[in-house]
Amino acid sequence: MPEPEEASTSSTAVTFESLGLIDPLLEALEQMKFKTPTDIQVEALPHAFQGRDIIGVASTGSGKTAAFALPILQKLWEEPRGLFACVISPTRELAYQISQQFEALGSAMGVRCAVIVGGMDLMSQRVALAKKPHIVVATPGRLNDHLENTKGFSLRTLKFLVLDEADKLLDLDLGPVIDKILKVIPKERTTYLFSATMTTKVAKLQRASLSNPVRVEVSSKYSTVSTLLQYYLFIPMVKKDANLIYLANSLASNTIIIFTRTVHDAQRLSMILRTLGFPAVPLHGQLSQSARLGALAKFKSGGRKILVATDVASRGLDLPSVDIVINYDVPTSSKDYIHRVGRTARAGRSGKSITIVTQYDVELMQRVEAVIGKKMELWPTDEEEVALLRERVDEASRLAANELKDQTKAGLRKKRRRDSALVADDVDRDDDIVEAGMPLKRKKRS
Amino acid sequence: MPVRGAVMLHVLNHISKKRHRVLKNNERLAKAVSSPPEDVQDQGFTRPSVLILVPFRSFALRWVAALTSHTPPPSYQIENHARFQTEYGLPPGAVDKLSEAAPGVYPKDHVEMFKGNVDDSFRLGIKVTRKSVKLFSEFYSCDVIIASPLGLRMSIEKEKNADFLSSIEVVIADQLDAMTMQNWDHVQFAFSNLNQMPKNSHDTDFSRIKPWILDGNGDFLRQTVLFTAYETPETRALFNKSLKNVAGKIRTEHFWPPLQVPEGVEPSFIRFDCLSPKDELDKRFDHFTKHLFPSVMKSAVQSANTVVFVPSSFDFIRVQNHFRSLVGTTHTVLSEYSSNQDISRARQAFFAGNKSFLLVSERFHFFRRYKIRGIRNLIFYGPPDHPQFFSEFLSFPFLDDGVDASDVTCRVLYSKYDFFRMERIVGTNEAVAMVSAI
Repeated sequence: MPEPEEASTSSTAVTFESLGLIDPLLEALEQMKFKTPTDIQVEALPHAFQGRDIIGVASTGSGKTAAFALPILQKLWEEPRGLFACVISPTRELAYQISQQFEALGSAMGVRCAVIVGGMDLMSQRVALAKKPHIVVATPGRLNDHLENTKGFSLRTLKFLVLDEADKLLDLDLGPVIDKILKVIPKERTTYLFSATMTTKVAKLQRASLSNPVRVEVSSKYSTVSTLLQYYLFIPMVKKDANLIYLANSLASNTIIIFTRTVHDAQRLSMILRTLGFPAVPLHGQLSQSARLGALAKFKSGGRKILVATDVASRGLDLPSVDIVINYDVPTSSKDYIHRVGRTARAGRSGKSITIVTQYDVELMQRVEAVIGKKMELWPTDEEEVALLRERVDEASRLAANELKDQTKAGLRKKRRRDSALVADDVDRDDDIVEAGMPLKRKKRS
Repeated sequence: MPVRGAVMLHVLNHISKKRHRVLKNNERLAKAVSSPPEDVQDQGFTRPSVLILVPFRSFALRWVAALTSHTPPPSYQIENHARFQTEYGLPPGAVDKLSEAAPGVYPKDHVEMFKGNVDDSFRLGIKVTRKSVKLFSEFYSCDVIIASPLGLRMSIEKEKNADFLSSIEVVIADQLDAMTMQNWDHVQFAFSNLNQMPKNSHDTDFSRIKPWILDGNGDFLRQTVLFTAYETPETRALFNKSLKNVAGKIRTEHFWPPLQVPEGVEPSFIRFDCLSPKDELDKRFDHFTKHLFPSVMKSAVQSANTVVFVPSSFDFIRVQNHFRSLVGTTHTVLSEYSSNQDISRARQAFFAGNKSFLLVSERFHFFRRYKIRGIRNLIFYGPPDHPQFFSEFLSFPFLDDGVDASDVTCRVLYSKYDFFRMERIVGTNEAVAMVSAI
């Protein structure tokens, strides 16, 4: 039964059925209201069914997760067994999201997933792994920890390995851990690398030891989607906070993510916003894992309309109905920029991004513009209104600074103990930790 | 007790079958290099699979004797047996007054319970292999743990985890009645820590763990055997709540005949009404202070040479405080905390009539079993758990010369929640009628 939408949207009229998917998956897709496959899915699935290794590059929010989940689940249906596939993700939140997607797609076939990320109880993860789940979704540090220290756990039976946000995983910070993991995974496996931005360096890709891979690209160059409107705001450094509040105020009815470079800024801005009556939640690597999941849940459910996050939240997370992404700082790498603004305008929806540029960031901004091949437009502001806001913002920022100081004093001891317990886990501590390590931690109390 | 031998045979059978399977699977795994077999889930998180709870060291000695009776010397070697005998038996040179005494000096059940080493804080790991039984084995490499509830609790609290109880498959609790006289809290603590998720991995091979243990369902496949001389509400609650075996559970019903009391003595049972077990303590105290005790005080004969027997230690303190606050009566106490000097002084004063009331706790009588002379009147604040204590106290007045049965009075306060205790004193049939009567 051809649906009217289908006929109008694409000329080739590819359906999930015509791609050769099995009934339980089609059923699940229908329940999830996925009617037509996205470009990357159309491109990748046939290759996947041939059993080839895939490097998949597609812009943000284009359905990459399903593109690798579907072929894995289909193969799993043919030969069901424990520890069938392993998906590695750079951040913990993304790992949870991927596992949810697997569970939703595999609901009709009773697929079992285990999420193995840092910050959670080791013992219960050991138990979860011993139950031999079909799919393991993990962050590299914790997975490696289990491979080394959990007796009786191995990935010998693994058939599929997926590196999501592969360029990040193959990067310098996480590369060595990935190498270690790859050493204990059987060579006869299918490997998928997926990301919105892909490294071209052959050396890095060799790490993943692909065999005769096919490269599937649906967007020509690193690009942002066309439904995304990108703006910038050029202001002096000192007026940054006031302008941000002005933006939050004038866009108050929208769902907003504000990205900052450091944990400190994320925490501080969320405090300022809250003092001024905006419903904001912070999300960064120095929160406990439960607090991180809690913040994300609040934001997803619409309880809080503003999420102030570091780059932990920049990749992969599918947060529906984000209207606007504000970059409080210009990201140092243009790839990060693409991932950040990719949190909005997902799956064909529209969205806006506003980047705050100060006198120090001009060069960075030009580099970003060069990479995405677009000139951004100036976001119009009302100077007078900003000036009016300034006094209140300064007051709130003083309060926030004091509160932060108090918190660190109170939390210093506790935090230190927690940190030492997590040393083995450091690799997992996500994107922002290198940039964002708060100097306060190293300060000695006299 | 031949039951111990039978139970131990069952335990040995369980352990050796399990061990045999593990060893066989080890072999299979070692042989198969390319495609290791999948059906090797044959262990728990930790090795100990049998827990035997006993109140005193002397009982540990008896259980181990039952075990070694099945592992005779030529084919089995018992390691550390000499050390076990010195630590769990009596120290050399010590004379066991109870077992040396002529029969009849001490009641038989008392001798049986307290002969030998009565230390109540210990734990022992036993490792059983094909050719040897190793006593004092390390907890994580042993098969059987024999411990007192207190010893187990101390070890759990010291290690801050109960991982060694995570994979227990058979629990045997011997002499639960004695444990209610010790500290029931420890027993509940031990049971609440059985089959919990461990906190550390203890070098466990996770691919070998039985699936139901991974799922946290160890409770439902654990066999629990409870032995007790009589039931109390606590032991019945343990049976009802902590025993969850999917195969079901059974308990033996005991029919109690009425107790023999000295001829001529007519105990009067005084029932007080109470609707909820929560109010029971207060209602009992109220009834005692407002009705029973004032009526005793009216009579000059009944308010002297009177023993007040209090079963529960909590009630004991409350009643004692009440006596302290009374003006014009003299009293003395015998509790499980009294020193030998206090005891002899109290007995002396009571016998001589210097103190008109004597408060005795059930635990005191359980642990010490003194004969108390000079009793003419008995008040049971509640019926005792041990039926023999009731008849013993009723016979104490006749230790003195020239006492006639008509001189002795006895009152027993009870409520419907005392059914188990009443049953053992007046007999099952009578007790049903007494608690259900309006």
